Amino acid sequence: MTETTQVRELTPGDAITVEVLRDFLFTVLRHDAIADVVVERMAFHARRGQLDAVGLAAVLPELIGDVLHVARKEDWTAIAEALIDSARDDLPGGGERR
Amino acid sequence: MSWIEIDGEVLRKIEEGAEPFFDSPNDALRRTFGLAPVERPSCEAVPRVEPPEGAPPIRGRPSRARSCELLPLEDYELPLLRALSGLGGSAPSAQVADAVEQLLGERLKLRDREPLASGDVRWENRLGFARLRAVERGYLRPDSRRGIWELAEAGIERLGEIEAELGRPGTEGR
Repeated sequence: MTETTQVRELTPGDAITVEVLRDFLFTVLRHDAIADVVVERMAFHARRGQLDAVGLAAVLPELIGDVLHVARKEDWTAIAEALIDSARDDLPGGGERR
Repeated sequence: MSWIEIDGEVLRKIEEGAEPFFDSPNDALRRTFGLAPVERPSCEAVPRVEPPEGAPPIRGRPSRARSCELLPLEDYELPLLRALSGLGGSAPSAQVADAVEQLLGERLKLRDREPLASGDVRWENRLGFARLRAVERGYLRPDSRRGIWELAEAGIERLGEIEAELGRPGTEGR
């Protein structure tokens, strides 16, 4: 990493490069759960002659947040179970609780 | 081509009649006055403006494609309707995109397959706008679940009309 690489610090000692961060955001915004809404928002603002990066930028976190907020505990649990299951072969003790 | 000055009120009226991302002001006015869409110049007729020699390369963002370098957005309509019909009328958008790509095949031009700054491939990005256009025309349902594209009654009728027209002599190869 060069000294000029821009980073964002999540917590002290835990940073993410802007390049990786933006790639993450693009990936999320390209997802089926959001992509159509992004297109609709852009067209909505363009139709009114109000499409600009600042305005759109203000909306994008909301679009991601909206989806995150409808995820329930059972959804996160299902994800966690799948993650553990996928990693069981490589986890110490097979990932079993003791 | 002639240049005229218009005030903000007239500009807003033109914008109301224009399809965002698809139309130029001239396209919108032609539609308002009931004139046929203008023929786009061929790419050969429009010389490409290259940066001066020695200029630093533009990084990170591909240049904007000219409309003649891309498959026209209206040409996505039939493959989109056909793809959805073939998938039973409703399918996840990624599946629809795969089916549309199969149907479009080599009609997608080089620049349609270019990656964009957002990481999308240009034609997939344009398919999103083609889907929006189809929703606004009533061909796709506006209330389908997120990530699911679904034909509406009007879309099924539209597909039937196009297929019937294509069945007529002299309309092959559309």
